[in-house]
Amino acid sequence: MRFDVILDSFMSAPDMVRLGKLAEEYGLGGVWIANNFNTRDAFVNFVPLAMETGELRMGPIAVSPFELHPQKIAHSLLTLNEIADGRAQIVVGGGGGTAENIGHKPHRMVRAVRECVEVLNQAIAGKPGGYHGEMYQVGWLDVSWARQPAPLIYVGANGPQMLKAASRYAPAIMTSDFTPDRIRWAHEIIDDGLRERDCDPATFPLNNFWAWHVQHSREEAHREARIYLAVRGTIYADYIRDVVDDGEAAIVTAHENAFMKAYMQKSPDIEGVPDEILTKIVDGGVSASPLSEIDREIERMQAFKDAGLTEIALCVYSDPERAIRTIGEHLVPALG
Amino acid sequence: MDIDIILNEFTSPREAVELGLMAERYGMRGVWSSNYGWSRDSFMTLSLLADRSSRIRMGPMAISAEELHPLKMANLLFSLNELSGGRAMIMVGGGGAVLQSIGKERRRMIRSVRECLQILKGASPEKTLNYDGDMYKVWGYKPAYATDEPPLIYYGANHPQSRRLAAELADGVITSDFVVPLMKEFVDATRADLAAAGRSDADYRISNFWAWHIKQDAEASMREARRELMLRGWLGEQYFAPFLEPDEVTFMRDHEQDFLNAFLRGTHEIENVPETLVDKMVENISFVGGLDRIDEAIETLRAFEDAGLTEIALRVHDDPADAVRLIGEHIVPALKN
Repeated sequence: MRFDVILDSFMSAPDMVRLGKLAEEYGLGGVWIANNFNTRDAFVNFVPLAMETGELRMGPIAVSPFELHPQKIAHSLLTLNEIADGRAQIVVGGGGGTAENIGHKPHRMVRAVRECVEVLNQAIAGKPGGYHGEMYQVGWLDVSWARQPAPLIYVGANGPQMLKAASRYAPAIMTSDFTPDRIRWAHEIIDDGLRERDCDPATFPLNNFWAWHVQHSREEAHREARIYLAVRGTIYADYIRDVVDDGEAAIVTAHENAFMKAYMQKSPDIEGVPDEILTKIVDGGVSASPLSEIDREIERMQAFKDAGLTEIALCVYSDPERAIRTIGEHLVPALG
Repeated sequence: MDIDIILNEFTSPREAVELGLMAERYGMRGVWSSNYGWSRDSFMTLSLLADRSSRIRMGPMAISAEELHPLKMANLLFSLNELSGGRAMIMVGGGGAVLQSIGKERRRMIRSVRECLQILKGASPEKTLNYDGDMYKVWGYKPAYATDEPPLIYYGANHPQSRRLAAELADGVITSDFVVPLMKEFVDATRADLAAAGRSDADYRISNFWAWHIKQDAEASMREARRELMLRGWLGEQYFAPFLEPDEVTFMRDHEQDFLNAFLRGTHEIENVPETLVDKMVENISFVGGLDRIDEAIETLRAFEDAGLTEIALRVHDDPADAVRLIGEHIVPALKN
């Protein structure tokens, strides 16, 4: 099982170099940066790290064709891939964040992502030509300068429609905040599509964005995890029953605004939601164990692996250096 | 007058480091990367140079808001600027071949550039930008990381309306393929535009894209210049009228397809056009020939400087390292004296 880390979007290039090199030393597979409208351009910001490492993969998560034309994505990705000697990676998503901040409303997301990945695949195949999709056109695509091993292209997919579609064309898939049971559910959706194109579901690259809040104490870990629950898919209607029962789910759904308020204020206090429910969400929906109970997280990673996850991207928050060391010293030797 | 180099569209990030550091050692001011539909990402091409150089400026040329939303453009520009410690620059354009390559068409060019310049100049690490333009929207943008000396923002403008817009909003303007008499008129008009906009011309940058083909091998230089001739002002009448006879201009316009065919086929042979006319064109609208033409090039550059250019951007083509070396050894010292 491959372990990646997702670093803070606001991180500077020198900090990324420092942490990326550490991740490489510990045998982690890759580093991701969440694509954010208020941050450095993720492709440019990876360049110093690409030059300072030799094995580590790197790339943004997730870039949407609603914010950047697929041909521009292809050129940025392949230029980073050239600098990194074939170690670039990307998650293509149908959202969301940046698109909204530039006034673009995503629509026909499944189609848009498919066309975007088709453009990327065509570029990687190296055959010059045009692309005439329903949503995106490329007059002439010729990246004959791109001669490195192909970058890894993931489709960011959580819903059944996107998962099913991605299974038919995506080189790799990344889900987010899926529990091990939810990973089994995803496999039920994608496996037929994978087999149709002769991909073995057991080895197909399936990654999962997963929040990592392991700290010295359980209290510290839970406090940090609670702050970020608003940006976990887990608390929303389609997924909340993965970690709590129906009655508890109704309470969570009724208080979604309280989660967002806590996130905006960087507070662990979520008004109106009982502690025992929050504890269940955190225990089931993220990794928030104390260091002394790291075996619990190793068991969770084993459960992910058993469910069919081939890699996991652990989103680290406070003290990313310690998080990388913990992952490198405990998870990688046990499951890597 | 400062000297910039425009790298060709095939330059890789590693080649850009070599050429950029060479240009830096020779005391040149800046390096531009060419943005073509088939080139590498033009910001990324310069990112290694940004990290490894210490004095030279760098930036992509030309980027249009229709191919890259101004907020995305801003983050790319500010990221390059941070990597270089405040030495980034950009030339915003109205969009051309790159737009066609992504299946888009140029529309409302002046409005598009106006909004783009307003967003690029309005972005700040201290104040949140909300921009509700006719063509572009930006909500809640505050790049807290963009604390370096702001990048220089140029507008590529050859016409009166765009020249006025540059004078109103940009840090500088870059024309392309303007011969000296045209440049004089343009600079005078720019100064009037700046005054009308209530701006001083003291720190306003005026540059001109100019093709450099001079090589040790004079014949190779002529072949390269002829091949690229179609791109010189897209054979627009205004660029050639100062030195061609009216009937020659008409003939040139009537044979545009022949010039285009030569460019697309990568050949110096321009069918159906007399060689004497081709030679007259390339010799007046670019630097061409063997090393014996360098002194003449220096005189032309001095004339550009006298016309009011603060810098010139010399576009190198085949064998760019040889071109940078020639420019660095001959042109830079001559203009510094």
